Amino acid sequence: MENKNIKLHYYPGCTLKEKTTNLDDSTRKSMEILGYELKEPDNWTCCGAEFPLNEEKIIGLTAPARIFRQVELEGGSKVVTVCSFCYNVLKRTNIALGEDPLKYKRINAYLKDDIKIDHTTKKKTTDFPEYQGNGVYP
Amino acid sequence: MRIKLKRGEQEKKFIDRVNELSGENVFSCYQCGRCSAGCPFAFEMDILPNQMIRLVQMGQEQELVGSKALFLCASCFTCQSRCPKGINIANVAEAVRHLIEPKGKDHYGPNEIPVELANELPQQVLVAVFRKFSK
Repeated sequence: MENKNIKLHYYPGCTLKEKTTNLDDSTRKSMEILGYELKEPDNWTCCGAEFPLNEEKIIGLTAPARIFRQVELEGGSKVVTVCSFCYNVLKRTNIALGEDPLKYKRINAYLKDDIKIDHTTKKKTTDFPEYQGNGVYP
Repeated sequence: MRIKLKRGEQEKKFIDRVNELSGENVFSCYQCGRCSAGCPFAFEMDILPNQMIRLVQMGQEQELVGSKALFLCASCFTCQSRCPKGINIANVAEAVRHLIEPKGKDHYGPNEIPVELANELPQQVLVAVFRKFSK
């Protein structure tokens, strides 16, 4: 198969880990058969899909930015997910980081607190959550 | 409430950080109190919304760490719609919560959720609750 052993960062999200583990299992199995190697980012956190506590929802976008940073540190450039909530938030964050300089600045202001190393999420995260490979659902 | 005022580096750092995180200028508040007058949870709060802004203006981080009012805020945005200076108070509250959370206590922990309920609730609800209420 042409896709043999393509490595992808896979973000399962909290629901797939705890409540609907069957979806997680079937995703992993299907991807294995299709020839993809899935790797979870280390220390991944909540995707941030939750009720907003302020109008701009900036803090809700910091969690996905953290995930992007982790993927970037591990040398990945794309991350896939099957949870539709996670996908929505990751995509929104991606657009905010890539296209909105003010939001980019605000998100990084929050991230400054927990960054141990001098590294901020760069604009190259633009096409992060989407993997438009052969038949892979992002 | 007696507060010993200081104007040191630490206070300045706290004020600057709140301004940076919230994207607002807390010094534009002139303490008219319209936010507190409209707040639907004001009767339960130990520190009213306008007092919270005042404490931030004075850099009184320690006073805010002990308060439960920030965790009673339901984010209804009544305060910011009433503010004559257009301060987005929910943003300020969010920034302050973010800064004081690691120093405070857990307002709602995993042990307080009954096991049967925890199994039924969507995972996102649990995550969202801990995000707001635990340190």
